Amino acid sequence: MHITTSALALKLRGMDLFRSMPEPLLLELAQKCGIERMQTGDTIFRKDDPGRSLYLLLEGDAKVHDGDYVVANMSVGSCFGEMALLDEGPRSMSVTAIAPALLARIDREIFFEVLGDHPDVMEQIVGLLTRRLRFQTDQTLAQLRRREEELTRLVDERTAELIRQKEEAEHLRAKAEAQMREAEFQRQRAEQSERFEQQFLANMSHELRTPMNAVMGMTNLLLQKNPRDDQRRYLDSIRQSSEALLVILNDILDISKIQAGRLELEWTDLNVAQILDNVFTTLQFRAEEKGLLFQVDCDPDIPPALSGDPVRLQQILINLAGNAVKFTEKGRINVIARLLEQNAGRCRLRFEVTDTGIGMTAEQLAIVFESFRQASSDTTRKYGGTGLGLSISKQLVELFGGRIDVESTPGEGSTFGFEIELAVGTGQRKPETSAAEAADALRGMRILVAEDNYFNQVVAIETLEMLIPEVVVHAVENGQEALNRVKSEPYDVVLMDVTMPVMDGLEATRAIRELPGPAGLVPIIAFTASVTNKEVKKCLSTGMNACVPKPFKDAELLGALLAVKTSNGQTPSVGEGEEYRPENPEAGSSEPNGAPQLAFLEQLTGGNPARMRKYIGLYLDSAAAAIPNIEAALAAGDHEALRRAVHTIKPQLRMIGMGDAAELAQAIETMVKEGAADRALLTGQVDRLLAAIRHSVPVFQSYLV
Amino acid sequence: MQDIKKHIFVVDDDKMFATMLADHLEEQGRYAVTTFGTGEECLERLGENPDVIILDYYLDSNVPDAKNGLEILQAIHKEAPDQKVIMLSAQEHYGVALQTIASGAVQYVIKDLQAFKEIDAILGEF
Repeated sequence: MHITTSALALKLRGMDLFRSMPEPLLLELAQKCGIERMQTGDTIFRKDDPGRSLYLLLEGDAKVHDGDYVVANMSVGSCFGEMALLDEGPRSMSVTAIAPALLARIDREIFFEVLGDHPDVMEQIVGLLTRRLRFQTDQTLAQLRRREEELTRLVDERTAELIRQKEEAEHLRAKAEAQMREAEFQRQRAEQSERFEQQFLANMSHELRTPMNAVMGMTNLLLQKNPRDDQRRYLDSIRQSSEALLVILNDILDISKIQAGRLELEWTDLNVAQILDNVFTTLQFRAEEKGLLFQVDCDPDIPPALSGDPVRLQQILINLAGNAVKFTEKGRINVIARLLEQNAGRCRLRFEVTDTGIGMTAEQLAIVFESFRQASSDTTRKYGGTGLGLSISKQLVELFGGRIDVESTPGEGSTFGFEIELAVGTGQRKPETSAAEAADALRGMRILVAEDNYFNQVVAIETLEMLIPEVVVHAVENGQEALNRVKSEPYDVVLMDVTMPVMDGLEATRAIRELPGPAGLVPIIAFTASVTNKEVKKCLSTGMNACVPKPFKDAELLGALLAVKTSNGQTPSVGEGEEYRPENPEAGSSEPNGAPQLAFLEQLTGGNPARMRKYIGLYLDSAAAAIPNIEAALAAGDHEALRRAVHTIKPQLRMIGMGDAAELAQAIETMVKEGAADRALLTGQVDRLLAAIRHSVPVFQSYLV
Repeated sequence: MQDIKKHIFVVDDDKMFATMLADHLEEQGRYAVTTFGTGEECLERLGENPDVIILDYYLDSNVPDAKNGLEILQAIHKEAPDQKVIMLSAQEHYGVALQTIASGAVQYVIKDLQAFKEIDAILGEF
């Protein structure tokens, strides 16, 4: 409005689009331009006017929404107008002025009208517009491409991120799996080492018991041969030491059996008053020696005939009361049994052992029932013991379905108590027979002892000869010989070891039972170190009449002999023995126990003792080398070394008379060679082989003495 | 009379078996026995022209890289093609036995309780 035509023309000239236009055309165009004032918020380009007009900003400023073009002063029209001229205008043209502005508007028709007569100018301008358009299109395309690339990059990044996350998840999962596998491996290893430990304890106890049997048995034999007084003193102290050792051994056995879940309670007649009496008898002397008052008190309301495991109940009470005596210097020990309630054939009892001893602190109480722990580390030094007694007692009480409790004040004393429920029994008690009566009833008996271990054989023979007047005892070394003897001579009873070379006790029993006539009916008492329920059942189902554990007590042996004699071999009975050995689940009856068969060696050497010793010496050398070699190869998982070590000892086992062990060695060799060996199975087999070799060492050594 | 005794080499890393076999053979009065723990030692003394060599298959229990009996057998026959060799093994595999017989062993004896009798019988035929 304040703009003159010539000023507007000048302005137009400033725009490159119009730069090449002749002056008169510019003036004509300027003349025809409409001048408009735009207010804030007005729409510069009307929606119904896309591309129809060319706008020229004269003063003020405006901002185009579409972020690509910020228009200031001159160039507001350059983009839209130019495109509109070519009918290619962008579709979105809502542009808002953000500030008041003065605009010149050139209508498209006017533009063409003015330029219509100047085709060369028109051509020039269209050319310019076309170039610009192309440039803009290229720019747009490039921009689009960049956008696309950006998007692709973003997608790639996202994908990569997702892949990374997935990989990470995968990695974590794999790690978790590896950890689980590792945990599983560790668990198996722990289990395995626990099995080994139990196995070890079982083996050890067996290894310990055999010589213990010889020591105790022969000590007793010597004591009965009128030793001099000084000799008697020595023998007594051997006996006492052996008995003490046996107690420890039994503790270790008990705890290993309990931990392996293999200890079962028996349910037979149980008389609480009798048990308390036994506890009293056992400990009174020890208590008196220390000047302690030892009292037992049995509630008279407790029914005399209950059903339960009297041996284990007594063991618990002796453990607790024995500890009380041990840890009390002055005062008293009270053992009481109370009836808490009785109904429907069951009664609930509470037992308590109270002492006025050293007592325990809260910290000591916390660990008092743990295995191998004593209240303080110097307790063992000061008071001795294995530290297993309380742990065993606690777990035995739990087997009875009860729970042990303890109250203690340091310096004042402790009370250990437990409550258990027992069935009221039928009250049938076997009539007691004195040892003398029993022995007399067995007078003149003819007994065959089948036992491969020389020491055990001597102990059995001499014990029988000592106990039973006019007894006739014959001994053989294996089941085959026993069978032959039974066929040819009449016996009143056969004492049969279960594990023997050539023919074991079970096989011999089966063979004897098939004999015609009275020989087939001869009572057979299993005579074995392994008196588990399973073993007993196996013996009885094979046709044996009773089982007596080794090392046997005189009374047990007499009792079993009397039982088979009085029942005339009809009723199977079991010697009153505890289980002496935790069962070995892997080892069946075919366990090569290493008991050697020297027949071959004897035949080869013509019984020449010097040569036999020489070969035995060579075998012992090899065995001494083989054991660590095999162990090391197994531990290292070195199958080639294992194969070589096993292969090396194999023929020697065969030659020395350990055919079973040689077979086992062959089996191991084959397993290793075929390579598909299940590790646990292989380990089990190798362990059996090692046990057989180990077992054979002292046996052969005894031949060299 | 001494020269009438047949000279026998026993090659076995299993000292117990080797000793037992040597004792068993010498006891019969007809054989003089020399024992070797490895095949390599036996090869060194091949010049003594033993009548028979009794050769164990596995010889590596004490010397881990000792050559096995088959290799020794082949080495013996390279030097003395007519040497009588009885193979000995705790190995019950037919394949191994066949291999040694194919390589020129006279017999293949398994180290078990019958081994001495079998060796006696084979030696008796020479």
